[in-house]
Amino acid sequence: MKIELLYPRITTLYGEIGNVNLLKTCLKDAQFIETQLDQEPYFVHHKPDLIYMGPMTERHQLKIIDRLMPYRERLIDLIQEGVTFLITGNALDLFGESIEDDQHILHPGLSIFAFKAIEDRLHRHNSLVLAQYKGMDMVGFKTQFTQLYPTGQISTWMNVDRGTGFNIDSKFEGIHKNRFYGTNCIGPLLIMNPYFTLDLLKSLGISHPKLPYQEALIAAYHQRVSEFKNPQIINYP
Amino acid sequence: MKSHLRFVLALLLARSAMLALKLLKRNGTHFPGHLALKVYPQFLKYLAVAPKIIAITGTNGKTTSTNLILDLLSHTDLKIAHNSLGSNIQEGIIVTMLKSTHFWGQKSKVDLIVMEVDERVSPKIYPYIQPDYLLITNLFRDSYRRNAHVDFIYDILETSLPEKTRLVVNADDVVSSFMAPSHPRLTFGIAPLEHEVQVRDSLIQDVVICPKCDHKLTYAFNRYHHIGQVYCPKCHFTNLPTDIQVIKVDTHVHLKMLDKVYVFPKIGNNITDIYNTVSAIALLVDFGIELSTLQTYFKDITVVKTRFDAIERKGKRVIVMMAKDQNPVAVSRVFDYIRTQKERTCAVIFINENSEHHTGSENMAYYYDTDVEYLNQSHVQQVIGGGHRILDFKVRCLLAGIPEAKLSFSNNEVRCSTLVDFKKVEDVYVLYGTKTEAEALEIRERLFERIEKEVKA
Repeated sequence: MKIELLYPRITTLYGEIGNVNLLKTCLKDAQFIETQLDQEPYFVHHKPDLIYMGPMTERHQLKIIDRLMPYRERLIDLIQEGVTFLITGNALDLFGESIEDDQHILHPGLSIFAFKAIEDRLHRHNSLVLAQYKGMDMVGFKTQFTQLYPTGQISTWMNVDRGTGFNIDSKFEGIHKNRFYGTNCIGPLLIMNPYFTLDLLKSLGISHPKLPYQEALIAAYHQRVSEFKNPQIINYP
Repeated sequence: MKSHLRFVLALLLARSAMLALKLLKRNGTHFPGHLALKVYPQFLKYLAVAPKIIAITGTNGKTTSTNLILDLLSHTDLKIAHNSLGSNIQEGIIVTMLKSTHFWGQKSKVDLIVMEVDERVSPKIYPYIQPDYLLITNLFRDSYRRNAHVDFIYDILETSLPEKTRLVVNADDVVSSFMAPSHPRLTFGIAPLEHEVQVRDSLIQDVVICPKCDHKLTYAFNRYHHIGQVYCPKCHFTNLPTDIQVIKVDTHVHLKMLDKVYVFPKIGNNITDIYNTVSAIALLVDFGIELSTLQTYFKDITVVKTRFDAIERKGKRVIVMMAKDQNPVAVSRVFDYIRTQKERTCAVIFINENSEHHTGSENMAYYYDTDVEYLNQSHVQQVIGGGHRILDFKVRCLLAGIPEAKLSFSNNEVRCSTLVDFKKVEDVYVLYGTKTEAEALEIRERLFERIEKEVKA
């Protein structure tokens, strides 16, 4: 199995490196390929089993769009072919049509999905997120400067019960198309959602997946779900 | 006219609140500043400022450096206003400014203002109170919720810096030291010390690629995280030269400036204590105090309370340390310190949640940027988590490789004191956050009681 990590030196903000470390623990026999800024991505001439990218600074968002733009069509093909993508935090912003920054300058995105990202650095957005996917409670946090606004048809990932979706008025969160999973949520996502992680590992061909310290992960998950469902627990004043 | 009336009203309200708090013997509150801002958000604009202003900012070390600077300045005849007892945000700074002026706020009654400024609020302060000197201790990742990441704080600081401000910066930190290149600066740093062990295994590495050409940087010396000596093999980017450098640390701190060496007492054993010391010294040198004069000030300085407090009873030590909540670098530094104290076995009690009364469901993602792996040592016999997020902490500890047999937890922070096994440990580290200091001190008292009952002299 081959897992490609896109630009890991600069895409592991907000604790999301926890996702990578969990994957490495669960997939001990997999080869993890790190693509750096000055390298051609592995996916250009190969078909990885999973492509992962996590959150980054706003400056690095533009750099990475620049690096990936020549391979936009290849990314679209891979998504169509069912390659698994896991994209978390503000890495998802790159896949939209544009990112409008604080000065209202429009930076082109990869235009793979029909949404635009609008940044507001004066008002950082923080929220817990409780959502539903395939009958599973999904939990995470948002901590970001952007809000996403659909500009056309998109295939959403989760239905939000509490907290914010794409933007503060939306009750849909993330993009799920074929095996592309993209969300602005962090957590780390895979650690906070052990049932989703088990499902993901199964989809990667692991027949009886087991997470390290699975009981502890699940206990922590149930506590979060119960808290997020409790209306007395405040959501970021 | 309207602005003036609003200012006067805000001033009267704030002064009244300050008087009331004084009568109630309440220190360290920024309530008067809060009132003033409610009435007039531009309140600071109309307050007189002292002839000279020193500001201290940065992610870690602000408070300790500020306290040391004030201790040293107490040897001068300068009349100084400061916010060391108050807060470092806008409201607290307003209180400091009101204390530094005569009643109507139009005339300063002090020679100097020394203020610790939260880097996040710089745009609200520096347009009105323009420091002559700004010490930037360092810039690291901090609270995700508030400070996002280093780039964001860097941009906030750089765009709000007044033109006249001289910078005093850490040459070992290639993020903060290069801020606002047109501003004159004095740099400080610590040369690689004899027997110093580099820390190259930190989870957080915010400067991995060259800020000029994106090539991978080489660390000739990596003290921790991005602190150290860097070099780009492609474009030759490297650290700024160090004007005031610690070249040796034994029972004293040896500083070199312009080929001359000055010796100072050592305050604290941690490398961060040395940084706090040299940063304070550098700031005061730039302010105009000679190093030789500062040496005399150090002779009878009251030992600056760092956030490290160790007390021994019957051969057991209880060490209370701040491990700042939501700050992965600050906590990692504390864990790294514990990692190096191999001569004595220890228990680590970790109670640093930020969520007051557990009314929120706190985001603990920062655990995964924190080097919890550093606690996986043979001399660390117990890791004890306390508070509401113990299940999350347990997961993190297990994923860090800490054997489950070493872990124990309690929802009630103070009850963590009952979980320490004094047959196994000589030291107990009680690590607290900004909201759990009271619990940490209570834990210490309970531990002392247990030591008295259970440990033979």
